[in-house]
Amino acid sequence: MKRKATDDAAVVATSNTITTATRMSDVPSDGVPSQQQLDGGVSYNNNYDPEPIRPEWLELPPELRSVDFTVDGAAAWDKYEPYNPQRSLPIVPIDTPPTFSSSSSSSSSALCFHINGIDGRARAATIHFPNNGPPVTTPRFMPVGTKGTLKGVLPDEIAAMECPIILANTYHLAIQPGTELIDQVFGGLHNFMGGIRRDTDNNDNNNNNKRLYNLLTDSGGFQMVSLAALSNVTEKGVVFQSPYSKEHMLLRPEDSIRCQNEIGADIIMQLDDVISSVATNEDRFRIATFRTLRWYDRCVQAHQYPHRQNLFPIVQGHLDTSRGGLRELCLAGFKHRDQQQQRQQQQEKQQHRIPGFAIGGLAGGESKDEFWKVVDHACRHLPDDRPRYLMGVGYPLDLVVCTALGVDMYDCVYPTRTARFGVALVDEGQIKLKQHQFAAKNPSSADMTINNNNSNNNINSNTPIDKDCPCEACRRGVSKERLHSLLKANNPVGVQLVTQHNVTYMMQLVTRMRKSILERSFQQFVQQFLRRHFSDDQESVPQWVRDALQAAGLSWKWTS
Amino acid sequence: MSPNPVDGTAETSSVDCSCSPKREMLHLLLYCKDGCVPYLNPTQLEQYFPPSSGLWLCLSVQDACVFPMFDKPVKKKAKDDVINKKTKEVPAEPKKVRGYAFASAPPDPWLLPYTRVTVPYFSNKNKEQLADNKSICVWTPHGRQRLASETYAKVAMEGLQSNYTVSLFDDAGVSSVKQPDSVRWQKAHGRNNLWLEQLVQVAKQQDALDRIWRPVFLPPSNHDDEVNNDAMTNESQTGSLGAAGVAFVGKWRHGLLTGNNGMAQIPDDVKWKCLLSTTSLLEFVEIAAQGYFNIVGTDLPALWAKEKVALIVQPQRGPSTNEPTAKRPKLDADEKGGETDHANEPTLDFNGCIDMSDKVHARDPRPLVEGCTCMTCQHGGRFSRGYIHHLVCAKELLAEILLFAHNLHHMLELIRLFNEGGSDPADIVNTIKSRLPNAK
Repeated sequence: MKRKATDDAAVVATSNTITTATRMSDVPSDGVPSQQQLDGGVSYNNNYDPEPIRPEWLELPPELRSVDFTVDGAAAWDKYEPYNPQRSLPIVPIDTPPTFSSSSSSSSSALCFHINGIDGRARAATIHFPNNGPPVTTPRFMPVGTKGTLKGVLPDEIAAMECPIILANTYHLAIQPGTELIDQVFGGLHNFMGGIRRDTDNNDNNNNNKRLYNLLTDSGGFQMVSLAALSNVTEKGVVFQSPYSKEHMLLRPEDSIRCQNEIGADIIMQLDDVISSVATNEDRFRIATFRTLRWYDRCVQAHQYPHRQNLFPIVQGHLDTSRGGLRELCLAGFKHRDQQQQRQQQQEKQQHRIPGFAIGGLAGGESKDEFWKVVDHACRHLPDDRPRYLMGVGYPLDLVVCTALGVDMYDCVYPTRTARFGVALVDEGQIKLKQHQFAAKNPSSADMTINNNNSNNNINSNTPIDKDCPCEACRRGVSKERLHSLLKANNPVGVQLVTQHNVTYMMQLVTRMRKSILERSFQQFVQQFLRRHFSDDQESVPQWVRDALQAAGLSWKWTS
Repeated sequence: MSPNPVDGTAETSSVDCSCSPKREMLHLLLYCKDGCVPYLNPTQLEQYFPPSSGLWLCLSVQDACVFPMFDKPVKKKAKDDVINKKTKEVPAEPKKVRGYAFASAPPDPWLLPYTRVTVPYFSNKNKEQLADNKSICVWTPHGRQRLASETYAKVAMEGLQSNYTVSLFDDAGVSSVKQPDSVRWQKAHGRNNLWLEQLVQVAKQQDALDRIWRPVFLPPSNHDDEVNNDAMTNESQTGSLGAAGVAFVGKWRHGLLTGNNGMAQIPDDVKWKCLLSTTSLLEFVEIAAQGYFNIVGTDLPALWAKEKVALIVQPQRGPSTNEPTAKRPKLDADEKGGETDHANEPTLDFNGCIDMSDKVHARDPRPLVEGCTCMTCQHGGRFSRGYIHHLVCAKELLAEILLFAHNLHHMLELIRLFNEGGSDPADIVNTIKSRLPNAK
């Protein structure tokens, strides 16, 4: 995380440490900002001090003091098969219409989750929203449309690539153009992006606006910590420096939820206390874990539209998967809140239960071995009748392994970002189209040669990236040579085509996974994928992949 | 004389439409850098700009047919080979580009249904063309490369396989503001004729003479009229050498079709008269209105998209509700999104475009042009001005895509209007002129 140099040592406070502040001349004498200063959006004197640690932040929250973590599964919800063979998971046929009533155990008022099939721990499900948008089948990868657009791709093309949900960044949209503008002037991000098709031929006036895709927004917490030149997490919220106005701003959980309400996404995320997974301050991790629970409560309080926007909590806890460790503490905290909400639901006859869960704190540089163990731990504890969303994960191999462990949803900038660098995704790995080996042969030069010795790449450069891929480039027969020439000339069409290919590839990957789960052939799919990904060399399959698949009850070896 | 449709006053048309009594169908020739239509993928191109829309494509060898060259394989001795005294050839990895060369490259398959014209270059930055009788220096995306006439003939005819090919030419700096050196002009003229003859010979062998266009240069306005007339006469006297069309290179100006200059003496059996490049909207419509040219070339839609401006001026029969004129009707204040501040309307530039980076668009929910059926504005304005402004501020590629599609659609609509014949071309030009700021 890069930070700008500053003359004031106290201002250089990372999110990993809490340091003693050096008082500035215009900082309040008691070191505590005034209420006015801390209310969201108000500049804090252009200087700020890191907050001193309060002892209560390190103490176990009251709701967790009665939990006996020595008992196996204390932090886990009631599980179904395969975790609990005595309890069968209700399987719903694929075309079953959704219900959004409080009487249904598989739904809330804004989300209906149907599990259509399982194979081991892998699940194939369908998520419905009451918004006239397409159903979201899982496993599902969500490409990231950071600033309200998917990098040169039209909304119709997003739908044509069979992408039913994309992600937008609250942080970027709050800065430009502003979420209030999106709501007040355009009626939400769906309208703003042109993601609604108005069916003028449909005589049903109530149902003639069809959404081409659904939206998920993150809270902005990760971007603030990773992108803002200066950021400091306080109990009130995150203090950061606006990259445009250079003012210091405070984003509270309430502000994040307000922005996400204005954007109008179908799934919104709580603001969590984000720390890099490679940091080392144990106290800071403990504070972040408990603060994430407290901030979730504030997010719920601030959430104005629970009947049409689903607020997902984010499970934190660093990489600590020990019994009674931070991950279990966080899970137990959310379990307590979920049970509280369900009791409230019974009293008020309204849906209040948590609609789905996100697994956070990963994809930040930790080892793969630690990574898969956290995912495994989360899936073993989280409820089986609600979607599980693993944040920031987007490598195809990671998707396959984590689906085997029980994850439903993923998001990452990787496919779209790497496309802009001329890298196309295939099962075998990557094709770096800008490399010289993909340049066209020059028949006028007798010296021309192409390197065909690299067995890790498909060097047949006059063929499409993947002849079986239904993307625009592959379907039209656009060769790798042609893409190479467009990319080297910095022609935008080259970037568009590779972006569409990568997104289509990810959609096809999750579709293939889903199909194999429904056909109960996920084991074979995994083996075939690994075989192609590692060029038929079993020795090169990493240990973490072997361990993770073994934990999922799958064999990673394939027969030649 | 026809009344001005805006204020009803009579206005004399300044467009000379007397040169060609019979108007031919007009086509727009769009410059396709790198051999592909700017910004649009194949599906978008086919859906929104099918061949029937009057769109022709201009491909230039300058950027569509230049490829890198690499080192040749190097013989290496493997370790074992020292004992066996055998030499094993190991292909060298093409890590370093040794240079660039022109080579044949087939066009993208989805361009084949379109009428395509190949030119050696669309614009050459050289102030002084480095040319001899065999080749000419051309600025490519990979620097300056020498394009030989024989290579051009082969690449253009056999490689790109366009419907029409303009022969290689040395424009001798016709776009230069300096008066051309008469020696250089004569040399260039001689080269161009030589290269035309070479291309015609190649075309005859392939029975493709009807695919050849000869280039003709439009002299700059600051050049001596006598020199100009001599040059134009020279061009016309040389004749088309059987070429099916003529491609005019340089900047158009009034008066080139009157008098005794050579342009008026271009043989009538030359079917295609193309002006390769136009640089402003007014120039485009004036040339389209004249009826002399049946193909008008331009790069304006892509240029405007890159500059983040949108063409909104229209030659409609009534005032447009989107244009910032004093007679714009006020929007209903209760209408959702009716928040446009009429006091701060965007201003038109001299091309009839609005700058989408202007903050005045930030809260504007309207489409670029009400009622426009382009990819950007259709369906009641799915992509609003506010959204396009946001994309421009966020430096997103989608902004250029949407603006290009809109600008190209608008220009094709102008072409269609001229082709319909329902309105006097001079009226169309005058209507547009009246809506442009500072139009002469």
